[in-house]
Amino acid sequence: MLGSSRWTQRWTGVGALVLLAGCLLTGLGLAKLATVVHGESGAPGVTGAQAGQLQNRVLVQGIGETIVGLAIVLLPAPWNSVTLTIAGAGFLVGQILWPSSLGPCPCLAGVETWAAWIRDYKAEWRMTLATWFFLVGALSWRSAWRKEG
Amino acid sequence: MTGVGKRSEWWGWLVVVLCLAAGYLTTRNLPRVGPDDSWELLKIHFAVRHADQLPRVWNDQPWLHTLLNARLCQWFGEGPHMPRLFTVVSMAAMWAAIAWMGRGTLGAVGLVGAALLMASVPRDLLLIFSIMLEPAAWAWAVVAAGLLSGAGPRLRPWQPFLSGAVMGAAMHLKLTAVITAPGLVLYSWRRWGFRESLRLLLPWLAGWVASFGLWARLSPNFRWDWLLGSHWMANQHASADPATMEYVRGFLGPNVLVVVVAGGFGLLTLRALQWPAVGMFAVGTLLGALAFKAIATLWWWYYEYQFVLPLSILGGLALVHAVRVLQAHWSDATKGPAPDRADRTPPAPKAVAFAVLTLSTVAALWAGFGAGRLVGNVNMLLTRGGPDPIVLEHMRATARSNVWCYAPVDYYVEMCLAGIFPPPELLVLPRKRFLSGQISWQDVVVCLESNQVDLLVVRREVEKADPTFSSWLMQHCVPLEVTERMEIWRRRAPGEPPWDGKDTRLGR
Repeated sequence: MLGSSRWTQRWTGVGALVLLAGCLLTGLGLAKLATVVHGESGAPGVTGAQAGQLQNRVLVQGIGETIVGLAIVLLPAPWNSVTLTIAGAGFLVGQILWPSSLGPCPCLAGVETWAAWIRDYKAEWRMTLATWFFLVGALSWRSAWRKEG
Repeated sequence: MTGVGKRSEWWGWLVVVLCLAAGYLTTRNLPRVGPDDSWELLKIHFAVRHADQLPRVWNDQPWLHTLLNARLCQWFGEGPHMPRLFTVVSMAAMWAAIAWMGRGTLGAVGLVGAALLMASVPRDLLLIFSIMLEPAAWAWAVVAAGLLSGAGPRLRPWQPFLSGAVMGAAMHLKLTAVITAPGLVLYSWRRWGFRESLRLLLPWLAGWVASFGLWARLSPNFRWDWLLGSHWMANQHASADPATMEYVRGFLGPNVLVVVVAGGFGLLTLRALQWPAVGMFAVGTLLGALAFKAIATLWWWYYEYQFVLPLSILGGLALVHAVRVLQAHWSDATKGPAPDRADRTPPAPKAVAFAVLTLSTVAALWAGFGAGRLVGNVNMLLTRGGPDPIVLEHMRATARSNVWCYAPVDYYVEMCLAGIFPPPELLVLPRKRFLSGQISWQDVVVCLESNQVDLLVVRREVEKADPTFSSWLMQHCVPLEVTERMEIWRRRAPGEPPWDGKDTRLGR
């Protein structure tokens, strides 16, 4: 019964939302890896040595996001929420403190080429996604702790 | 009662009013804030200086805003500060009406949330502090709805009468206020029921007819072929002209994403909130805006306001409901006595998930799209340019000997400052007037000639691009200044030879 209840909780309520966030993050990571596989730099217009550096960064970010996304999908509550909160906070800090010396942030690499409405509003979507991951994590974490209590 | 619960709307209203006051103090003396401020400012100052000439003015908008602000300027001094105060006071009245209609439902969170959503739409903040017709007209239309929300079990006949009268006045500020009418119908139906609403209809209509008729009577002119006909004819011509339709591109695009999504969550929340009357007002107004968009060409971005206002109210409802659900979920409210049903039963897991989704999505979109726009709005307010010193100098010099001059809308503020105006027939000369066929450049030339207009500021790509106007200009005028943006010409003195095309003081 307990196992069934936990399974149900995972697919309903905030659990489903955390799963959705985990899948989204995994998808973003896989899109970056696909970019690297296709030999693209992740930022149109960037060529030469900088493109190589950027590709390495896209690879690292892609692997990291895929692992963290899968962890969020697989971990039990509230640890999935904790992971999502930390990941979201990390993205937010990255958005605010990203040094210009590193060049353009490849955070939406692999996705931005799909649609103009993402490409034209890259900074806005990056901040939106970072905040969304953080808030879904934090709000569901709080809900999960309350349930445990 | 919860922290975001009943009757906290007025705290929210106080926050909104303080922000409005701060915005007014920042913008009160800026000549241009809204994109059409120049038109309205010129009409108001013309009404102050040449009230006897108003019947000659072609006007595609009702007169109430102009007449009211002209009177305020006569009492408290000319300039943009009084018309701007009128808009800000109208906005404060509108948010008071929303707080009153949403009492017990919206809470401070909902009201401030709705205001923040509205302010985050690009350039909407400029509209709120502008002296344009749209925000003031809509504000008083919302007040008319608020007046239908009595405190007692029934409305007395004077209350719907007053509501109708305010709506009549709002429509005399700008006819588009009528778009909120479906909102008033749904609001009354939800607040008072079908039979009671029918009882209110007669006094409401009496108030509307009395007010609308009175303002029409007091207007210098009131012609439906100008008020409506010009817009419809311009629509017909514009739809056949791809260049003109460029104006209406990008309507309801990513810039208003946060409001659209928040409003969507609001629509999904209405059932859980048991169809609150303020929400039904927003739904009705949204339906009115959609119906209007279906039949009219919405020329300018600021017509997004017709969607932004109801969507912001719905977004505010979504936010406050989400906060309440999470509050109930997180607290031990189920153990203690609770004043309302929402607090007595613990929220279902689906409701909690929906609340988390609402809050996180709206807040994330606001952080990504809205906050940057809000900062951009404030920057735009603070960096508005001042009058052109060259044009102002020539206008002031001309004003000593002549009352009329001609200039495009870009230089209307300079006209107000110099105290010189276009001839009454050319006071309102929008592109729509040409598109509707209600004026031609030949008519403009005839009017300039008959009024002996002494000074002309013209644009190369507009006035000079027209052969009729250009030919008249070369024969009767000589250039004074030529800059990148415009050219200043003056009428040739009697006996003065025509311009040889050489002697021009290029930009000085």
